[in-house]
Formats: sequence, C-alpha cells, structure tokens
Amino acid sequence: MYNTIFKIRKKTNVYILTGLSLITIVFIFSIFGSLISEFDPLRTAPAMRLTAPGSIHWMGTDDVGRDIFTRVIYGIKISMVIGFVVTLISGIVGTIAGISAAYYPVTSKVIMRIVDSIMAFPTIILAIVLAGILGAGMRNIIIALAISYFPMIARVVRNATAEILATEYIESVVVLGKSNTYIIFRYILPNIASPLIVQLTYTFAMAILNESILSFLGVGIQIPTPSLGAMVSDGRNYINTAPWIITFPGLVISWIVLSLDLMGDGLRELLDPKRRHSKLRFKKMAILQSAYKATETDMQDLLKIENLTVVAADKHDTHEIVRDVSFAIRNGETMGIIGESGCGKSITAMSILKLTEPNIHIAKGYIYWGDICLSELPESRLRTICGKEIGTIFQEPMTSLNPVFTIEQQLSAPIRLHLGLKKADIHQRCIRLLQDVGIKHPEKTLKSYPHELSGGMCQRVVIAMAISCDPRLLIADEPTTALDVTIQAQILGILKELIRTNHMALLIISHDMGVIASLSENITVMYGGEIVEQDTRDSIIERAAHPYTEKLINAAEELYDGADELTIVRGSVPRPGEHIIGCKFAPRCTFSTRRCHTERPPLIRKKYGKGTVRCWKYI
Amino acid sequence: MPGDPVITLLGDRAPAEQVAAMTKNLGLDQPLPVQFLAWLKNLLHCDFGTSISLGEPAFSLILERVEPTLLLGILGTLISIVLGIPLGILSVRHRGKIAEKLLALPALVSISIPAFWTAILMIQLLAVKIHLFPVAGYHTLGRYGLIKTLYDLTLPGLILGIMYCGQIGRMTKVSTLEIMRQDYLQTARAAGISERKVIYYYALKNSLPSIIVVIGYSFASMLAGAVVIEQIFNIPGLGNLIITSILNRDYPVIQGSLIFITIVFIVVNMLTDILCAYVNPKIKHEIE
Repeated sequence: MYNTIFKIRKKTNVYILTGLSLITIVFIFSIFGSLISEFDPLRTAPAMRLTAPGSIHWMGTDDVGRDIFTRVIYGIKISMVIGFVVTLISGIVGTIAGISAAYYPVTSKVIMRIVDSIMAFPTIILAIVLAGILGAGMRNIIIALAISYFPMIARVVRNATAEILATEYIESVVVLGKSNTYIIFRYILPNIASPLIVQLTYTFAMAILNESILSFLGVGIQIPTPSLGAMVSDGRNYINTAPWIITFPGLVISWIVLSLDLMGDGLRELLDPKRRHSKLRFKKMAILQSAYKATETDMQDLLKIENLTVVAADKHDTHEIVRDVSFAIRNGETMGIIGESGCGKSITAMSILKLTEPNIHIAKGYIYWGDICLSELPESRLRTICGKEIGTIFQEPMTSLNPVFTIEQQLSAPIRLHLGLKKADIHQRCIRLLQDVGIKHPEKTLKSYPHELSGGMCQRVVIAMAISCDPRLLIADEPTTALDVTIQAQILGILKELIRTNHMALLIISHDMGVIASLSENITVMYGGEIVEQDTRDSIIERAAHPYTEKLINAAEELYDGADELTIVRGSVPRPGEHIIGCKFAPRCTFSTRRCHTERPPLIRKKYGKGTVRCWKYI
Repeated sequence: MPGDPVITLLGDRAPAEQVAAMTKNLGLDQPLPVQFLAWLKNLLHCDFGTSISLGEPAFSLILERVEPTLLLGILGTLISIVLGIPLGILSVRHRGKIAEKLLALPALVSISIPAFWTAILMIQLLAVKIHLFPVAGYHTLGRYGLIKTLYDLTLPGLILGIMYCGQIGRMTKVSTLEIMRQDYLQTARAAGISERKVIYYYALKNSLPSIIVVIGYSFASMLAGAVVIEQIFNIPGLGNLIITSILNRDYPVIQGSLIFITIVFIVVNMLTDILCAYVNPKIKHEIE
C-alpha cells in the first residue's frame, strides 16, 4: 500500500505505454524542430503568405507568411509550459488545501465552502471570466487556470486523506504522539499519491486543452505570440484557401491532450484498485481428462457431479480451488455440504449454474442434470434451467434482492419468464408463494422495496423466488448464516416444510453441522477443496470417520449444549494455491503421522456402509 | 488600472474629466464595499445593473440570450445521452475483451479533441462542402418555429453532444461495472434472467442515479461549452454575450451571466436529485 508509486515500474499498461510514447514523440518533435527550423515564429513575410506545405515550409505559411511549422513548435512549448506550471501550482495549492481540510475541522468548512463555490461554475467559464478580468497574457492565464483547477485536486486529496485518517492504523499512530508533520509526510502523502497523480495527469491535459480554448476565444495568449488555439482562430478565415493553417495546430493539440488523457486512464486503471475489475477468462483450459471414465448416468440421478475440478485464474497463474469432487443427488433427496469457509463448498455449488466469479471456471469434470451436461451447456441455454428446474438461495438476504425493484417485480420475473402465466395468475402465485414462506401480509410485502424489509423477511422472499417455478432441486448456499439464531430456526423450518410438500431435492451448503444435520439425509464433508468424507447423516453423526468431521461435530455439539470451553480446531484452512504435498488436513490433525505429511490419501470406500473417506487411518 | 471598463469604453486617449464624469455616473467612484452592497440590493429586485457598453438593463440582455443557449444545451445533452449510454453499456457487455479497449477510444477522443477545431472542420465539411447544415446563425423559436431553429442547432448540438458523450459513457461504464459485482444480479441470473436483461434492466437501473448526476453535470458544463460553440456558429446566446462583455469589461453583464449560470446549476442539481430519488427508492428513503 505504501509504495503504490513504485508498482508502475513492475506492471505494464497499454494505455500508459501508448500515452507515454505519443507524448515522447511530441517532445522529440518540438526539441528537434526548434533545432532544425530556420525561421522566426514572429517574422512576417508577405511575399510568402499562404504558401502550401512543401520542402521549405513543411506545414505551409499563414496569412502573413509566417512559417506554421516553427509556430507550432513554439506553440507546443507554450502549451507545455502553461500545462506544467498550472498543474504544479494547482497541485501544490490543492494538496495543501485538501490535507488541511481533512486534518483540521475548523478550516475544513471554510476551505470546502470555497472549493464548492468555485466548482459550481463550469471550469471553462470560470477560466474565461478570470482570464478576461485579469487581462490576457501568459501569467494571467496560468493564474486563471490554476484557480479553476485547484478545487478539484483539493477535493480528491481531502477525500483520500480523510479515508486514510479514518483507518485504525493511523489512529494508533496518532495515539503514539507522532507529530502531524511526521504523519503527513510519512503516511498521508505516500498514500494519497495514487489518486493525486491520476488527477494531476488529467489536470495537465485539461490545462492544455483549456489554454487553447482561451487563446482561441481571444482571452488567452495574445497575438502575435504563437499559441495553438490562437493559430486555429487565425486560420478560420482561410480554411478554403489554406486549410493547413488550422489543420496542423488542431492536430497537435488533439495529439497532446489525447496522449495525456491516455496516460491518465492508464494510471487510474493501474493505481486505483476500486476501478480495477477482474478480467473475464472464459478461455477454456485444455481439459486434462483423468483416468476416470464417465460412467453411464444413473437415470435416477437428478444431479450428478463427476470429478469436478474448479480453478481460479489471476493474471499470473491458476490454482485449483475445488479438486476432484463427485457426488449425486436423486429425486427428492437432500444433500448437505459442510466445511469451514474457504473449503470450496460454495464454489462447488455455484459452479453448477456457472454463477461463480468470472475468473473462476471448471477445468475438469462434468455436471449432469438428468442427461443434460450442464458444464458443457452454453450460458444462454443454462439460464433456461436456472430458476425453472433449479432454484437458488444465497447467503446474504439483504444484498440478494435488487434495491430498485419492488418485491412483486422481482418475484414475478421468473414466473413470467418460465411459466408464461397471465398477469392476474402471476399475482395470485406471488401471494401464495409469500404465504408459503410464512409472510403474514403478502399484499403489503409485494408492494415494498427490499430496504423496507428485515433480513429474515428478505430471505423468505429469496426462498419464495427460488421455489416460484416449482424447481426439482433447490440449492441453498449458507441460507441462514447471515441471520439471527431465532430467525435461523424459522427459516430452517420453512425450508424443511417446503422440500417435504413440494418433493424437491435439496443441496444445502453450511459450515454449521446443526443446520446440515437437520436438513440433509446425506452429507459431504469438504476440506481444502476436496471431499474428505461422504456418507449418510446417521453414519456421519454416529461414526464420523475423518478426524475433521469429528472436530466439526464436536464443535457443533459443544456450541448447542452451551459448553463452557469449546474444542477449537486449531489452525486454519489452507489458502488456495498453497502447496501441500500430503493430506491437506495433516497440519491440523491430532492423529497425523509422517505418511500424512508426505503422501496424499485417496478417497476410499468405508469398511461398513456405503460411505467414503479420505484418511490414511483406514488404509 | 487594468480592466477598467471606462477606459475600455472611452479609449486610452480620452480626456481625464470625461473619464471622471463617466466613472461617477456609473457609480464606480464609490468604495468597493458600497458598490457591492448597492449591487446586492438591486439583485433582490432582479436588477443586475445596467450594461456599461450597451446601456440596457443586464437582466433583459441576459434573458434575450438564454433561449438559444438552453436549447443548445438540451439538444447537446440529448445527443450525448444517446451516444454515451450505449457506449458505456456496450463496454460493460464486452468487458475484458479487446472490444472494451476499442470502445474506450471514442470516449477518450471525445474528451481530448478541442471542440472548436472539430467544429470548424465539420462546418467546412458538412455545411460548406455538402450544404447539409447552415454554416452559422440562428433563427429564434418564437418567430421562425421549431423546425427552423432545430435545423440551425443540429450541427452545434451534435458537436456539443460528441464533446460530452465521453464523460457520460465513462460514468455509465464505471458505475455499471461496480453494480455488476452485486449479489442481486446473481439472484437474477439464478432465476434464469438472460444476461442481456440482467445488464440492460437489472444493473442499469441501479447505476442510473450516478449516470443522471453526470448528465446533470454535463448539462451545466455544456453551457460552458456553448461559449465556444456559439462563437463559432455565430449564435446570439449567453456564451456569446459573456465573451463580448468580457472583451468590453462590461461587469454588470458578466456578473449577471454568472449568477444566471449558478442558478441553472442549482436548479439542475435539484432536478437530478429528484430524478435519482425517483429511480432508486432507497435514496429517497435515506434522504427522508
């Protein structure tokens, strides 16, 4: 965080590179140009007036015979100087104003009031008026533009500084009694550097653009001093006979401003993490088929996942976050996946409908829905199954509903889409659905917006949406985690009732053994992206085979019994990409032997019953 | 004294007594605070003072010039919306692909290239060479009717629209991308809503408030852009008036115009707030 500036060197960015090379070309052009040019930008030569571009006058001459090439070179220099000085002054003034506004509440009001009232005027008008009142000339333009731009910088700096001051880290430094100067130079300045650099680059571009506008309007650089804007203005009357007078200066302004804006965009993309968005990677990885051969799909299976491996890709490499997961759910069956956060259970569930983040995708394995292979299906076809045959409930009820639509608009969307009912029927169905999930005033709720409902109510609505088209499978990803304990129990009760009456199959994901045990007949325990144990609920609860399962059950029992001391499973789940040679749980396992650390255990069938387990204890 | 309106009016070589008489006449001999208070008092009566160079009340001068500028601003805003929002949405749909970078170019160009230059080139091309539009001038709405007025304003409006569509396009892209990460879009996808509808309807309605704010802002700055465009197209609007008054140091008119622009700015801000609250009921809820 503290050396964001230096990261520029490590990464490359197309925009910055292009912008930088374009602006370098301008610099080289202007330096070499002034060395080569034999003409005086100011000396008129009536005999040579309106000469077309040629070997002597490369860009032609203007209406009084001055060499355009030489004038453009001078114009660039003037633009650059003005742009640079304006950026420097407004940068310094803006930074000081911004930091002091964030630092001292008393000055804050005064400074921000001034900043706001200056920003109430469009910058060009403000600059025009200021330049007009101060009088033309380079110094006054610089003052006018600096006054117009410093408020924007002050605001950026103030916001960035306030954000940093609010962090606990800085609060602790303040408590330590470090001086303000120390804090400003050591912590504030390095951290506001990124937004500041971006803003300054744009300021540079805007200053050059607006200087040309001022000069064009006649309130900027005065004739005969060559300025790109004024040259365009001069050339207007000769556009028919001598179009080169206006063409070249205009091109050069565009070139300079464009390259600076490109750099600004690139810097913003590079330095501002908020605007950086993950790159889509739909590129399918070469499917490395394992030795496993797809068995004939058991027709009874509603959902069948075979050797699913899911990878997350970032700029540098990809790592497996779910590895070789297989399970099946039959019609009306319930399956629970349990594990701590980061074990890949949600990813597994979300992969079924391809609802994972764009950089996460299936690398290996298949997902079957009946005899349709979901993992091979194009997204548009997949969406016809989503909502209709498979309903989904998400973890965060408050963010799962769209804030700008009423409950009725959201609830009726899938019904209209998949069932094609009449308007009145849709309304009736919405009311019935809300009643089914235990909402007492369905009419009133339908008219509400999500922010008017409580978390528990929102989750009921989400459940109603998920079951609105009578799906055959309901996927519930931590449906109660975000809710209070009492609401949790209600929601679980509703889910239980719904799957019983609607004969739905259920895939429920939770880290809470209590939730899983109360809803599912079969349980899959995941750890570090792998299945470590899979069995019926009764076998798991009574005879947990894997040490991890055992710990999860103990933790849940103690929690529910209100034990004074909780048996904490020490350590934490392995990070994705963390390389563990042996059993992934070995570092936290009380039974681990040397073998556990060096060799990965296979998933084997248990001695009794149908379950499987991945542990060296049983081999 | 630089920027003395009396000197500008009477010329450098005017006799001293004439200058003194005029200064007294205009009330410019009074101390600045007195001048300011008198001006404030008049302001309450919609009296912006009298134009120094034209001798007419500044308020009526400004009022006469408002029509073309407002129409130009509205037309430019409409065009920039029509160009900008699809530009932003398209780059959201094609995020992460080459098309996104390509779609960023028009926005960049529209922000970077000086409008006065493109305006002159486009007049030459579209008006002088192929007579598609009038070269310059303005026919008032009241006397000549909407069609004639719009015909005059199309090319300047188009240039203004192109000039500001980049900002709107960028805001559309950035704010929609932010929304694309929200959970409720996953809910919509899980309900089987097509990706097209998820972006165009479910996401866009959420990012609309930020887009509306930028549209309001660019409408206000279009009044500034109009200064340049009116000068080139010889449209007798507010921008034209500001430039003339600055060159004549006609302070009452300059002040009046600035006050007018500020009022427009405030009104537009209010309108955008109301519109945002209408689009997103949550904002309304937070205000209340």
